[in-house]
Amino acid sequence: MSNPHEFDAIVVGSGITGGWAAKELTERGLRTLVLEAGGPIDPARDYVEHVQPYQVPFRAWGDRTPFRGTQPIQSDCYACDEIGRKFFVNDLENPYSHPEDAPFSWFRGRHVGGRSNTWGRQVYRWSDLDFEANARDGHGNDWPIRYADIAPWYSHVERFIGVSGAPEGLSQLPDGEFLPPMPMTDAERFARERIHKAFGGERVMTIGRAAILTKDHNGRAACHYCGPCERGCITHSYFSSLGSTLPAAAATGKLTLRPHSVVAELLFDTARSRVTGVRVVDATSGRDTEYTGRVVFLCASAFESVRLLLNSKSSRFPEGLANSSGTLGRYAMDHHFGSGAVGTMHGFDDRKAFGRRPNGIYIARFRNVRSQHPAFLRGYGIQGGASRKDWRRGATMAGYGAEFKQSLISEHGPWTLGTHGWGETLPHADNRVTIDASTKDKSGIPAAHISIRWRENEKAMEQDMVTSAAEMLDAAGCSDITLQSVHNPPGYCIHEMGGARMSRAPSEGVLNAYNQAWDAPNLFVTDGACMASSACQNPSITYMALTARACDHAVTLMRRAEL
Amino acid sequence: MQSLWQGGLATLLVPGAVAGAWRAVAATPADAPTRTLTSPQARLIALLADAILPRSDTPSATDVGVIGWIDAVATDYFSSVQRSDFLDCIGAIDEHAVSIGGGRLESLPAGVVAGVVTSLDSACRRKNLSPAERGYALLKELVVFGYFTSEPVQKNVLQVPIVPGRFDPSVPIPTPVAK
Repeated sequence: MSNPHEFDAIVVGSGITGGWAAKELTERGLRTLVLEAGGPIDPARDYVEHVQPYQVPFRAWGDRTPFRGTQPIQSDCYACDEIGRKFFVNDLENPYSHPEDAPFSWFRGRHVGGRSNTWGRQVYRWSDLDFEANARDGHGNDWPIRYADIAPWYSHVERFIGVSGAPEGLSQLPDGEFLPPMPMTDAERFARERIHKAFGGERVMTIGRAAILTKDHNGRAACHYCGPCERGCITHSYFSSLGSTLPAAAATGKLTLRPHSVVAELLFDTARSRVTGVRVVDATSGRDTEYTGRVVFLCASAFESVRLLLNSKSSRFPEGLANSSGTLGRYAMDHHFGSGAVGTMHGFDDRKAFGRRPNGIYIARFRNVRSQHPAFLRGYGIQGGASRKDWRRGATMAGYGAEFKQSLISEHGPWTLGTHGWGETLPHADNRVTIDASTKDKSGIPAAHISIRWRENEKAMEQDMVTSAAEMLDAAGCSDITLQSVHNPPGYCIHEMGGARMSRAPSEGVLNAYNQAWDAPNLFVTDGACMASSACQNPSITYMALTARACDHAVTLMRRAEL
Repeated sequence: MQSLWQGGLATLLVPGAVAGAWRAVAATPADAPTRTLTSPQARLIALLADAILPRSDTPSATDVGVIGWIDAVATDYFSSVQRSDFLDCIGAIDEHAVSIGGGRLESLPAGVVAGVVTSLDSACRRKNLSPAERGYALLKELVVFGYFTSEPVQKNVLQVPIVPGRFDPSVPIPTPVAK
């Protein structure tokens, strides 16, 4: 009988990349241990997407006062409301710090499936415009890969998870292997045509490309349009680890999933320059356990993986494992997002939508694609959608009495179109994650200290988001256009990435072109920590594709006895 | 399949603790004892709630338990500071009624009550609100939210489908027929 603490592969984290690592490694025959810091999730018991407002005491109303005490940070996240807050950590048990003048919002989920249970489900391929950006303008290091290296792996991921979307033939936003797109509303289709015409075809509005099924796919049912995906999905119609990759891994008979397992450090053999395994603190008993593996995949989420590397010190790496370059923790990023505009659409008042489409529109990046903008580098995409206001408008609407009530029941507010930017952040050495040795989490592990600031390029880009959004609403014929500069702090987009970047040379970064640590060849980091730049697209599909590619590479090396 | 979702399975997916919390609130009828609101406060709120959303061919605010929900918010949701401010502002509404109507709200004839509500409703979109205007604005928000999220209104009035089963981006809205 094999040693229950010895595995071929150890995967730290069961979220969007941990699930993919588990699937790819087990399907290639590796006995794989997945360690998850949080507890198990039973969809039948824990998913709450069909809970109605009248089934919870406060009906998800208000400013979340009752649970701000234990979730003062998490409760700022749109999804951490009275119904869905179970999918977010207790901030008191999971502290981190940031400079007083540089707030950082770190929204986290610790449970099997991680944030794949609550993610935004938007998936966009990168292009060479993105992979060549650092080399082109000199910010950050040159990516060691190009689109051709990852394109087959995007397809591999898309075929498994199911991505609904419309092909547009744009070089900066490559088409994928799509399921049928969700339909646009009349107002959105009208806006798409008007914007296309007004800007000479340079600004293309398409339906969001979403990891949500528009038809049955790989044994999962098509979306039933109930709306709040961030609370779970009993039919697994959107992609999550829990509903897709972990079951595939379990079906091989090679998977061991261990919840409540907080990885405190990676164990390193200096003589062999190999990671030998991990030290785990059991979150329920507090006891330490060690597990060994021939390869270790870090998929704990970007800044948790960086924190773990920084906390894994040895005589060889006193400043954190795999840090011979000195770049570990540096070049941390998030997308800056949310500024734009909203306006009122006209001509569609005799129409409404039926069902709750869990998706919006997307306007592909148009800045610095054909020509250079004078005020900033890189670019942004626009996300949003058109909808009508319902009875909620009554809270601030003039009037009372029977007619007022009837108008809220049978009439609809105007169609409004919202368009808001999601912008690329330049990689900067001083945007970094370090260790705050004076702060420890519930398991006694030193906390992360996160220092990220928006700088001049991000600020200039944000101003342009507002201007261009308003231009497009004007082109779409909107009235009552309201400009919105929101100044969300770093972290708010929940796209934290970087800190253990891929590079062409060991002196420039932590990982090589296959997400393999330069300093420890049997260590792979495939979550957002590996990113050398942020592009402006939602990043999860790139993490998934890189993970699958890294797993294939690791197993190839193992079969050649090179690992 | 759709009827299975709407009728059975969706209900089964409600966690026990959550369902229990709803029963505690839903079991509070309009005239049931309240935990934070005094009887005069509850009567004042009921008067205003049914002025904002009166009974017609659909239920009124108090018909669907809005008072119980507002009492739950006042008791278990608000911080002590928020609770105190809310109750002070509710009291200020009665003082406002005395100043412009000559008596506490529940003692006034319907026409005068309407005048008081009109004065508060027309003011509450301004800035720098008086305590009475602030109290009315928050109360209106609570009444509208509590009414339209109540089980009877969601199910029987709005007929919100829990599982629509499809997304149709363009459904014609029938033109209302004049009565």
